[in-house]
Amino acid sequence: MQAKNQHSNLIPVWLFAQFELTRLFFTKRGLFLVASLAIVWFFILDFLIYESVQLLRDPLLRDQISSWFGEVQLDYLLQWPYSELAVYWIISVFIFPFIAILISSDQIASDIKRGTVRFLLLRSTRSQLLLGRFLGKTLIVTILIFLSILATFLMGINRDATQIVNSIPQLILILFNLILLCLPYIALMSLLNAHFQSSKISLLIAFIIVPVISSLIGYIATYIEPADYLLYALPGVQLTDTLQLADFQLSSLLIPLIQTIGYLFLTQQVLVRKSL
Amino acid sequence: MSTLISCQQLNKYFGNKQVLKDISFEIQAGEITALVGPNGAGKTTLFSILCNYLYPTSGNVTVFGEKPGSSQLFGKVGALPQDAQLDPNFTIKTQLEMYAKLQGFNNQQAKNECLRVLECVDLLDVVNQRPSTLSHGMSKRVSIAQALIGTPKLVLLDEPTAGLDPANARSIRQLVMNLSGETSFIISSHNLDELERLCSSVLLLDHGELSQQVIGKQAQQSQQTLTLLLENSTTSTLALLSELQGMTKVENINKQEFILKYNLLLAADFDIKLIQTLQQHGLEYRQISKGLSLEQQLFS
Repeated sequence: MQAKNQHSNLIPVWLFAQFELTRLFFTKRGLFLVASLAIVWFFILDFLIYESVQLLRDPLLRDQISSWFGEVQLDYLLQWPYSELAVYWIISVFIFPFIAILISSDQIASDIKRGTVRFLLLRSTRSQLLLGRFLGKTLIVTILIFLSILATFLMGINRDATQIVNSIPQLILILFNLILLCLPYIALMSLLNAHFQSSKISLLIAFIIVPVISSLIGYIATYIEPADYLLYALPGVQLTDTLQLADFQLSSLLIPLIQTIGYLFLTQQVLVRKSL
Repeated sequence: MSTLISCQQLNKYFGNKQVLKDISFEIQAGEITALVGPNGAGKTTLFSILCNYLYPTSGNVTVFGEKPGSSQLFGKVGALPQDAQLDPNFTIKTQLEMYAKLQGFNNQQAKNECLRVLECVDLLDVVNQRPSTLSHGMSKRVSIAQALIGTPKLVLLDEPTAGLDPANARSIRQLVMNLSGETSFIISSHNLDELERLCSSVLLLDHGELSQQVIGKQAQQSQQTLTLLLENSTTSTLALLSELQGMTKVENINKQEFILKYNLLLAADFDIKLIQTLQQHGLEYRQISKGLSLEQQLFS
């Protein structure tokens, strides 16, 4: 039987992305990961966010917290109608890069090791596989961000249902910024996966080597200032700026986008040269 | 006949080691071609280059006139790569359907195609199982099934019957025979008897060099060859066979196996006379085949 529909180049990308969603939500391993993340988020919501919001309701304490922020301008968060979202924002900016790394730690490494990639490459190009897997992991992280933010929003509504409309801008702001923040981490994992063909080594480098390199650059930059620009090659360089934003800013949008495109380009170059 | 595969001066190095040396050959559509050679000869490397898993260091390769890996080849070329395994986290059905969809099938077509190819390898009952629950032989048959999705025009099979029990190996051979004609096959195997039965041409790779391209069928010429395998033979058998009319040379490969070279113009009914002579002298034969066995052609 011959295939009746010759499809466009983007269909395989979408099929690979869909398959990644199936992997997370319809396999035992994927569901275990989702359940684990749900438990972690339950504790974050129930203890960290809920308790913090109780504290923030005290005006005296709010003033004190404002002074604690010091150089980091986070005062705008105190103006948000739902403090839940404010606390969520501060926590998730640090947590989601880790989740993105974990979720995307095995994009193609296992397939290459097992030889499954050889079945796939009879039907798709290496670039389609790369983009499909990247898109799939991005969709998964987006869904997880959306679900956690929705839970936080519902907590806020539960406390004060009058502020729903006023909180929508913050909701969108957080959602888009978190997705953008995670993109270069997912793309970096694509690159590490393609190069090292091991999810464990990719994780090790993302969690240990990259922070070490980042610190090293910071140290060198104290003596040679231009070395600071090297930090722009690493994901999360705009993290402080992103956290301080009260609105969409070009730098916090462009840096992760350029990094993502750069990492994906490098991954594609690695993959097309690689023996599989 | 159109050219399926064309390789010109193909070289492949792994570091300093040259695995393929200036290989040039062409394969025509409709053929079943054997790729034989000792371990480490470069068979899997050549397969991998044809499937775009590896790139040649130099030289040109085209499959259906396209570079390997071209999207024009998706659905036209199927392959059973050596040691490749399906994802253990998904059922066979999910994965084969996904492959079919990648080849352009819609959801319903993909479901039907998945069942069709599994039926081809007699494994319909494992459709909802995960690969980890299958035996080695079953996994190999499922991998062969994936190579048949979309009825490709060319299928590359790397050691398709290695590790299979005789019954399953036979069913794979029959499958190849049944599909030959509409589908061309290139089969890499160490089982020369199997290749002899299946293939019309042979590529022999040895130490990276393509030393022979043998056509299995005997050329139509006056000098003909028969391979004779007897159940029993005596010391006088060789002399007896030498006296046959038209015989030009008799070679005794081993105690019971003989290669008979004869002139067709001198004895048009040589094979009939041979059987009559054997019967008259009480010699039972196990097999008489035209031409040399593949083993003899390649290694004698």
